[in-house]
Amino acid sequence: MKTVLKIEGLSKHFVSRSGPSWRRRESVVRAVDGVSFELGENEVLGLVGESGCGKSTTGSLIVRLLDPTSGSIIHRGLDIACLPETELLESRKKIQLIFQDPFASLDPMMTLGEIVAEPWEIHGIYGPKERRNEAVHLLESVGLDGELSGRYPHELSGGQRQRIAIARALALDPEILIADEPTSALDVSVKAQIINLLGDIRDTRGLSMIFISHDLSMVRHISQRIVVMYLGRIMEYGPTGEIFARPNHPYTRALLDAIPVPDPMKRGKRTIIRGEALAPDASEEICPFYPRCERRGADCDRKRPPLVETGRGRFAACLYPETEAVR
Amino acid sequence: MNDLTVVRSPGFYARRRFFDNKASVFSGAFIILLTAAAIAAPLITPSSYADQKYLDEALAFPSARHWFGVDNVGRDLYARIIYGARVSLGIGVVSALASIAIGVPLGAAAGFFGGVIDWIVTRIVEIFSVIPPLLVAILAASLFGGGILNIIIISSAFGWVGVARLVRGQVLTVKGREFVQAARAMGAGSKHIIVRHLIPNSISPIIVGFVLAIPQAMMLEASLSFLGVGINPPIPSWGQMISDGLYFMFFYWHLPLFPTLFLAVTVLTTSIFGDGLRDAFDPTLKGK
Amino acid sequence: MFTYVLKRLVSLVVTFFVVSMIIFSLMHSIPGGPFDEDKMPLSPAAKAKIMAQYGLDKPLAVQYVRYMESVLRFDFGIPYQSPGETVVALLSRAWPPSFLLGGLGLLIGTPLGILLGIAAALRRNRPVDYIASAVSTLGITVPIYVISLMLMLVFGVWLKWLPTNGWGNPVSWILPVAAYAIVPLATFARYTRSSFLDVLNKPFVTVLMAKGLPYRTVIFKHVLKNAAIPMVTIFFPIFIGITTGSIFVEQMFRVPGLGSYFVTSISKRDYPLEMALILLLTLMVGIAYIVTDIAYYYLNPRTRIK
Repeated sequence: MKTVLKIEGLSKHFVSRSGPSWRRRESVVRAVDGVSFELGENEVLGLVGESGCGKSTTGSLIVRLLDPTSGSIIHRGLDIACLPETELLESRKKIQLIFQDPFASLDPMMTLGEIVAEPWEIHGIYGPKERRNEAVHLLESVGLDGELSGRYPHELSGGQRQRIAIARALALDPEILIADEPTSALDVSVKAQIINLLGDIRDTRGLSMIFISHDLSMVRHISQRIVVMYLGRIMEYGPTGEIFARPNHPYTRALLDAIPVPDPMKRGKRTIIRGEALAPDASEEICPFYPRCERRGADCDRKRPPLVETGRGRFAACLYPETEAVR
Repeated sequence: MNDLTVVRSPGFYARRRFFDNKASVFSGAFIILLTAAAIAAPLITPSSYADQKYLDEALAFPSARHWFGVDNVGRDLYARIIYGARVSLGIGVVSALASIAIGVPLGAAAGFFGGVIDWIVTRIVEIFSVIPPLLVAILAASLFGGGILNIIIISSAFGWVGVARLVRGQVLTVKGREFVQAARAMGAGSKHIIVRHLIPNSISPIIVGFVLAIPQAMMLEASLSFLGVGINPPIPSWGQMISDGLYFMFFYWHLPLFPTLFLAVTVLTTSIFGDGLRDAFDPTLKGK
Repeated sequence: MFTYVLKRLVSLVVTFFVVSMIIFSLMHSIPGGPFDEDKMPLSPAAKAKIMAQYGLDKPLAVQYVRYMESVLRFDFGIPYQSPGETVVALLSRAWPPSFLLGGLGLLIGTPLGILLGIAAALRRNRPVDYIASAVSTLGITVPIYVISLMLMLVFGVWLKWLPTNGWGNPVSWILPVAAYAIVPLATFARYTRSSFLDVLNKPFVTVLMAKGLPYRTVIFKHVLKNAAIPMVTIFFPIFIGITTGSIFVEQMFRVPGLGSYFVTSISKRDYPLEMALILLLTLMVGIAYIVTDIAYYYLNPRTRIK
């Protein structure tokens, strides 16, 4: 598989200040902490974890809405993690982001036609008249009526708005789409339509996608491989089917056990997460999951578990992984 | 799309909310009427503001000939009040425009660029919010002299602060919205974001700020003129007419009464009109 | 907390000196002094003598330093308009009427405004609410001398019930106090109403009502307590409103207070008195600002320091 995006040791640290002005306290929150993974050509990579685990921050770092603290993002042989804004334009054309909330990500003062044509406007592609015509084609390509181009976002439903956001992301014919929880603000009945639309787009356009979500059943449906994150770090990383069948990391196990099973007869033993989560500003030399972990050993609070290969194409960051065969 | 709900633009709801508010519609009508009267002043008054044509009728009470009576030096009070509206409205509108011209760029720059610019603008706004504007205005007017131009300078020197605060807040809100981040992620520069997103989304608070700056300036002018450091006679000013009329209050109460009523009603209606506009634009009431 | 108050006090002192410097240099750089030809025809020699006596012949910086030195010794010089006494003596004569009338206005207007605001919030969209909103809009937007004039016309001129000026007889205090009272009444009525409505719509109020607590207890104990916190912050604008209002009210009702001396000191270019009044006002306004700020932190349990 050819790699289109390679992320290595990506970190984003926030300094948070709390307290009133006369007794201010500062602490460092490692929102993303040494994350590495690769995105293959025409692949959908799922980025999963509970809220606050740094998956959305990772997405924002890749499109450089945030500047990384350290690490590299290799795209087309170029490290875009440290490029200045002025040299980012080319990679920004090729990597597009779809936001979670389609009510907030569309400017209420612009018509739908203007919204989907905005990328062309920014990059100086087409004249005004061509933009209008192309916008109609673009709307049709995501299953919307081209007549809508003169309307405003508030006239649409949530699902229609998310189609607009997808159309806007496709305007520049990108190589990589980063979808940040694209269905979590939508009604259940519409979610499937958007997921199928994204799947179709991947097939017909041959692009790659990072699908960020906390909804494991959604991720299982669409992605070939998944990255499981917890408190800014990668816990486990590998092919979707294998991870769902045999998780190597106790956190992944707990996460999978939390998926509701619709058939009461099939409910088996579940791992339930107990205990307090680690404070986000805790030490670096620690496994972030150890206070809640069922399999923790004596050194879990003293040693940072490295991300090691636990099988073919499978990695886990655990000192005591659930593997019998390998290791 | 083919369901029964009729889709309306945000402007439709803003208009409907505004016209549902009877007090602000009435206020708007009064302001239009007064503005028309002020513009057409020479056509609808029996004499000019400085003509002492009626010396033999000095201090006359209101009558069919002199609607608001005659003042102590033989000038028709109605004419002076209508010409006074020119001064009051003129100073109000020009000062409000000047406040917008200073406040919008400063507030927008502070909100958009942040950092040092924001720090400086916020500190200046903070200083202005602690000092009582009227006191400083009185002092400035007494030191540099009154007159229309000086009053406009003084009142816009204080008026821009409110506008800047309003615009800064709005720009900060819009800047943080996801559609601006989306544009940034697509590679948009500052110019594109300001022109295509920030300005269109900040128009309504700017309009509200403009309208609400008008009564502030009118009040400042009237207060300074009342204290004798504002408009120079014989140019009529309501504040000065009130102050002059105080002297005759016990026997010729119409002299202070009419300018007081006009000042009160004008300041009140412009404020109510501005509040009505703000409520109409308020997105938290959308569709209600 | 201590360092915070200290910081605020330091910034007050800095503001005080900056204001004094600006006002001092402004007043002395404008052409037209108190002893100019048109006001007091004096021979050049006599003029020079007077200028030297008041120190007006020295460079500006020297004058300023000298002035501030004596200010720190609580000596504000001698007012030009009444050379027989010191500025301090004149001010100590002038402040009681101002503080009495302004204080009475505040004391009467505040509870009335709060009650009116509560009544308006509890009887939303009924006559009380409309009256409250009319009164507060009128009181907030219309300048205080307009209100004073209407009071004078109605009660003094037409009904002839009350005197419109004078200071000796407490009856003559009624109208100026009423004019002052409008400021806190209008402001408190508006803010109490909106603050009350905010709290009334909170779920905890519904819970208290639902668990069967008497209506009165809910309103006066729980809602009022929560609504009072943001109301503290409007004390500062009210203070400014009354302070600047005194300039107009005292002039109209002929009260011999700080406000009327402010007006005469400006028209007579009485530098020592004008400087003293402005410095006093800066100090008062600055202290009011700090007090409001600290009161807010103490009353609000979320910002209170453990």
